[in-house]
Amino acid sequence: MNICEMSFSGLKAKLESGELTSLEIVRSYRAAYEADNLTSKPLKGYIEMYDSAEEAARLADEARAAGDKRPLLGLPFAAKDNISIKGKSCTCGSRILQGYVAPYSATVTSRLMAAGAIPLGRTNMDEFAMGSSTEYSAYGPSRNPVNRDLTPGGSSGGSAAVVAGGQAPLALGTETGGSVRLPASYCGLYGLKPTYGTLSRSGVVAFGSSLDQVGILSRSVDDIGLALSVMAGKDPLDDTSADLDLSSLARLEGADIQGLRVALPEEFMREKGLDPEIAAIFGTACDWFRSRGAIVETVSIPVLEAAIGCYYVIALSEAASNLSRFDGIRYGLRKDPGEGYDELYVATRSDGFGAEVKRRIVIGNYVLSTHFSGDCYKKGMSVRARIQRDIGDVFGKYDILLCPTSPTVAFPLGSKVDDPLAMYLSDLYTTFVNLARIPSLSVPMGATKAGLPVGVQICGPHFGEERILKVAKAWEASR
Amino acid sequence: MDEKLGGIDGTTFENLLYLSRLSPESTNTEILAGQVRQIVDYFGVLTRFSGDENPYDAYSTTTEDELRDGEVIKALEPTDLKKITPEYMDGYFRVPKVLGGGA
Repeated sequence: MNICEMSFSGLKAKLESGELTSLEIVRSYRAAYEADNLTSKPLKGYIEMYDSAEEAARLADEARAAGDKRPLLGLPFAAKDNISIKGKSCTCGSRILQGYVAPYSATVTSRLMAAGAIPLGRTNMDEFAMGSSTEYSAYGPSRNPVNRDLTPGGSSGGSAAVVAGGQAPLALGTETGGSVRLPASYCGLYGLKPTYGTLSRSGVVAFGSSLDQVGILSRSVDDIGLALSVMAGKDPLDDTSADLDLSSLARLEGADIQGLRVALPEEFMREKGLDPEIAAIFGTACDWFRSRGAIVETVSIPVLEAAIGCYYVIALSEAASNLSRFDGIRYGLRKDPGEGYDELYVATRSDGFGAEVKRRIVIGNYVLSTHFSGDCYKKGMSVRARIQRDIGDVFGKYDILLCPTSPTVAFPLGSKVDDPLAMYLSDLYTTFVNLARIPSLSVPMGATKAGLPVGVQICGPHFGEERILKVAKAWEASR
Repeated sequence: MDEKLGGIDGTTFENLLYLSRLSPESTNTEILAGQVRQIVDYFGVLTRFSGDENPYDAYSTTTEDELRDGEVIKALEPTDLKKITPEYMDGYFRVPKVLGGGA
């Protein structure tokens, strides 16, 4: 039995049957992490693996022996470096938050821990979740476990690397425009972006507040259902959280595909940048649905052409506003030239933020200034409304929307880092989901001839998590 | 919009850096300005799809969205506030680090 290749739900079964202890599991992941760090191209998925995990595992084993039946007792998980865990560093992959220790836990991590789960460590990310490769992390990039010269994707690339690389059974990431689904696709994992409001954002460092949502990366569909069943639900600390009971997702059955109405957005299919191998694998996925009796039809959603532009107008405006709190006074790094507050702000932010964050703040402030940009922001909001309306219309006629997660497979480290627009276009197929606030699950549907994973995303209507997970479960069961 | 977007000159860029509280010396302003111009130009695609609709009409409203009644409620006394917060120490509320002080 190779513990590091097992799924979160598989480990749960082994713990409950007494075949494994939590301590054995945690030690296996630590051993895998330490061994990997000695290789010439380590994954670098973790920024920090917690020493406290072994003691927590011992306590979990004692609790189980004493009759504790909590659903996630003794199961380890990793969390992205922008999700707070009380008493642990939380730096968002940035120099500006060096030394910052979270004074409270995010609701998502506190709910996992209340269910008995153990935080294993914090994972690498593009600085403040701004990027698609982890190359904008102040700690340096993570590597893709499938091919270590490639990016694991971003911004939750560290979370994907540790799960795919056998250093954690499940990891939390965050999404603003595809930051969970893209790494899931590049690393051959399942990656869920829930409906906006399904999970609380309390304790998650904000990037674009109207878009941000915590996501889950795992090796199986059941793992996502299990984690979601514990984390979802109304949180008084986040007014945008929805009053949901998703406890039924702890046990998933595959959906009946017969009669399922599946929409394929034709704008994505004729995209020039779509890798032909990905198009072929996507075609195979469509055939799988047809062969099981689904009604698969192409739909036209012209406004999707503007999704990337709309996303960056809104996300960067919100980012410029959210990141204004990092001023050297309240959090982390402080550079004080001794000339006054304004100089302190400028010195701290100039030294603490990396190039990509600076670029995005400048663009965000440009968009927010009507003096400079006219009604750019208003146009962005108008296009977002149209995307939301048109996607809503699709779900009036179809049960799910299916499309590739990314137009390309994982790209070589260094190949896009100096070309921000090319990097932004990595999110070509993902941002509309965040703009429309719908759920989407990236499912590993195949690999190219070179062995690189390809993900296909199953999108559902608002709060349609159960539907898309059950469809994915049916796919998973057929493999 | 397109004409306006393309018009980020040196002075505008300096103003943007000031608004962002970033020092021109901390970055290669020529490269950064070029990248910002390129990305801002990309936003021109929005013109083809934007309309006059109110963006907020796209979101359904519920009773939870309604503002609370305009009723004046007496604030909690500090002693009562202290009873309901765990972030309390030595007679004071614990606060994030401010100018080297705090918890």
